[in-house]
Amino acid sequence: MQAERLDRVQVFALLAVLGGLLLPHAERLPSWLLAVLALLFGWRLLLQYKQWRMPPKWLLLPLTFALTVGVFFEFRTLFGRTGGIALLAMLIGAKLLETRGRRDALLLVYLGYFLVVTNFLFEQSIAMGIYLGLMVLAITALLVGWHTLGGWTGQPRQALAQLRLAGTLMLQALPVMAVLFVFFPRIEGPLWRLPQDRNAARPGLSDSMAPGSFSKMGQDDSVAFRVSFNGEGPSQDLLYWRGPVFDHYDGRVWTQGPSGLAAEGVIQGRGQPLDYVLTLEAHQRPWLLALDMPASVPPQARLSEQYQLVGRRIVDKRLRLELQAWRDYQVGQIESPLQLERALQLPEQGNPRARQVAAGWRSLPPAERVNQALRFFGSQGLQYTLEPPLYGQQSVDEFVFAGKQGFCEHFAGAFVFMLRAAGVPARVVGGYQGGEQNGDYLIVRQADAHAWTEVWLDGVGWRRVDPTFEVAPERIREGLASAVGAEELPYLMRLDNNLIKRVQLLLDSAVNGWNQWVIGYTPERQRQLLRRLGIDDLLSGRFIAYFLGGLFGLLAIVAASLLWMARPPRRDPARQAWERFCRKLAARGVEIGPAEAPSDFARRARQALPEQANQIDAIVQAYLGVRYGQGEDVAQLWQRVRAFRA
Amino acid sequence: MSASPRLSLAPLHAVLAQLDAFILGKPRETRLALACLLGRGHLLIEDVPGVGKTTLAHALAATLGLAFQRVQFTSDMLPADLIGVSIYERDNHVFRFHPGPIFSQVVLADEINRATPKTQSALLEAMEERQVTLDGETRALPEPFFVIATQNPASQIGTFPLPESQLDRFLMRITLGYPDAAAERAMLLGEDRRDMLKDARAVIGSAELAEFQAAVRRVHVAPALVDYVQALARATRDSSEFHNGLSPRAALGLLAAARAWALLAGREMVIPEDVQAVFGPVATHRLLARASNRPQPELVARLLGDVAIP
Repeated sequence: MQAERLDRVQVFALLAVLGGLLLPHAERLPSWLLAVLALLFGWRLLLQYKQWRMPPKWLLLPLTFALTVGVFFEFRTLFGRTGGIALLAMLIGAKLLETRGRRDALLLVYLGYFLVVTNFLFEQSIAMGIYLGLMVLAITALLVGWHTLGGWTGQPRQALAQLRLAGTLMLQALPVMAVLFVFFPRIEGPLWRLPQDRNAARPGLSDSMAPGSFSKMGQDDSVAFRVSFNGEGPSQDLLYWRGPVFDHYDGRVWTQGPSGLAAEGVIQGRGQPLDYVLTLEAHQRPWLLALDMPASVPPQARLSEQYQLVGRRIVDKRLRLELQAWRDYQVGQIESPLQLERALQLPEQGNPRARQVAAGWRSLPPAERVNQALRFFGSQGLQYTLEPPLYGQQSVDEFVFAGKQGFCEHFAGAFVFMLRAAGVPARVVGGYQGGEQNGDYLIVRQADAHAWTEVWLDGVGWRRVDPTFEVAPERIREGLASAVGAEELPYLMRLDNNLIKRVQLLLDSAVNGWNQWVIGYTPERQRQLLRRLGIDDLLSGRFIAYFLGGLFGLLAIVAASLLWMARPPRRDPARQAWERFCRKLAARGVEIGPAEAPSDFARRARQALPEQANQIDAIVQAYLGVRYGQGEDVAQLWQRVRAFRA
Repeated sequence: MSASPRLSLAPLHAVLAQLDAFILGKPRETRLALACLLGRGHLLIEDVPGVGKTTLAHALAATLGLAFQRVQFTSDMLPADLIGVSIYERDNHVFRFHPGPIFSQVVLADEINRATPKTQSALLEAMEERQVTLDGETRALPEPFFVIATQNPASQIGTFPLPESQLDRFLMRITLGYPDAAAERAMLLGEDRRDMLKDARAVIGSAELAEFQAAVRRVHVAPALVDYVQALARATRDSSEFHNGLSPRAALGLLAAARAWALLAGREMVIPEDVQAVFGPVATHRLLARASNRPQPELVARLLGDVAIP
């Protein structure tokens, strides 16, 4: 392919497109690798502009080997998501150095398509979808360029034509893509279970709670999950999204203790459970969130002894959960002594003032102690704020008796501490509270994170008590925004309903739709959808018939429309009659030339078939009259042509 | 058939008969020349000297009863020699315009390619606009107005090939070629052509000619035929053999010539045969072959044979 050396425009376009495809990977690759990649790209560019000689094979081979070894030492593997990408990037860089002509360039173009897919392994957002769509357009335009008859000149007008053709191709592929998306058997394949990457921490609920150690919280307005209720949802003050349960306190930090699985039927609900769909963003931890109290356990999860839904694996991608909740329930009436013991655990010492006050409640019956504690919290002049002072070693005492400023974690932590000190089993429950209605679904943001408490009473079981409610009831009834000043809030949670906020909500609903229908289109949803279409199994004969039928039907429509567009223009009836006449004569060996005038043809025909000379003359005259004259009789021409027996 | 009363074609046949008496053995060429004039086009006759170019031009003018001027083009000829000149008259103290030979119904521009491009282009305006502008004054040319030009093939020494713009203004270019043996013999034995021309009588007058020209424009052209003309024009433009394809003016000319040809055949509609008959004379001089930079009749004939009649 020496004859088809790439010119400047082509090399530049190729490098630009490959660079654009590697760009989103940049944050995942180590910096030395990025530097090498930049070097290789720059080298190729210089080769073109300075007309240097291509590096020889004996240089390229060791280079490629060295790069591979480098990737291996960085990632300890050549496979896996990031390691694989790194290797691919290096090989593309090396390949550039031996890319002389069209054939090598085409190989790189196909690798480019593969790079598109690799980006989706990491991110499946709408923005990424649009970006990669544009990149596909760009690569396809390159491909079109290398297949353009007469060569790729690089003129802007031609580039535009290439893009237009690439766009047309993509649009034509859309229906096929849609059919395949809906019907192609979806697999929760190994592709999506590539080995985890290191350091992939994401924000979210933390797995421990240390009131007082953060002085700020709730500044993160990213979405934690979205919920759509089947029917009317509960009111704001009942939206407690249950997350990790913290039952161990070491004097400073609340942590989750070990937990077994809940016994079957431990939650007794009354009435109809509430159906809802919760789409959880990836948060890199195993627990799921569910509305208090979960009425069913989805296949992806188990129910812990503390009634918390825990995923079977870390939530490292968006998860769509179909859940049910009891609004009216009783739980844990018969609780194991071990659980109760854990719910009374306190450190040996610390916070003496709080212990002292709580000890004074011991004479009351347990239920009264809880009410007393709530009254106590209400009377202390505590203040709800997102920016409390930092508390030290005796954090409960400092908060309740001195600082008096805190948010839910302080309230819940101190409340449980004092109840335990008063001998009532209690624990902290983490999760989210509330949410923001956006059309037909609810957005719950990281800033909606909340902590409340559960107390156990004999004969009642576990009961939710939210001390924050005592101090700042509006936080629970109307959401975070009404409980604190606007300046403390993340921008998107402020109440003034300005334009930017409305636009943001609109965008969020697009994101939600995307998550529900594109990302969340799992094998399970596919099965549901197909079942609605009357297909039970993807591999059943019925489905295959539908699938192939649909596919071929689509192809038939495409083919038919192509044929229809390329159909010959509608024939003039006189012309049709004439062609029939010509066919009749051709059968007798007198064939008309394409450019032969009718009367010249008639002359030859008369010579070949002298006995029919008059008929031939009459037909030719009639044809000329009808087709080129004014108002002659077509019917008569047809009659003569039909009557003509050659 | 057309609603207008049918025009008798007998005078035209008489014209053709007289022309054929002057130019022996060239019925097709005389017919083309007459069709060209009926289609209100200018005619270019190209051939080697002595085959009767001038005689044909002469005979046409005489037979059609038109005022006739002959201009011998030479390399030292100036535009004023063609158009005329304003001369100061001492007695009346005014400039007076002395019209040149172009103010005539038929101008025979003999050996047009011997004149310089400057003089050739003086013909341009006259041919297209049928008027002449001199000293800021526009003067109309007589009606009808024809230029019949003769030229020697460009290979001859001392010629200035006509620019393409001017070639496009000639509706047809015909070549006469050597007569066949019988025709030549008849000519050699017969009267001197020049004496015969002196006695030539006008067969029709200019009024009758105008009537026939109007009749030409009434000849019916069906959409199917326009398709054919367009297909031919497109083929010349798409072909890689020629520098340029036919201009829209050429396509119009092709239609006009085909109409005239149809009228001469006594038809009130144009059929593809008419287009084919005039295509060569109308197209050849406008299509310069890439290979030789000259008109190539064989290429044009091949193209005509390749374009299907729709």
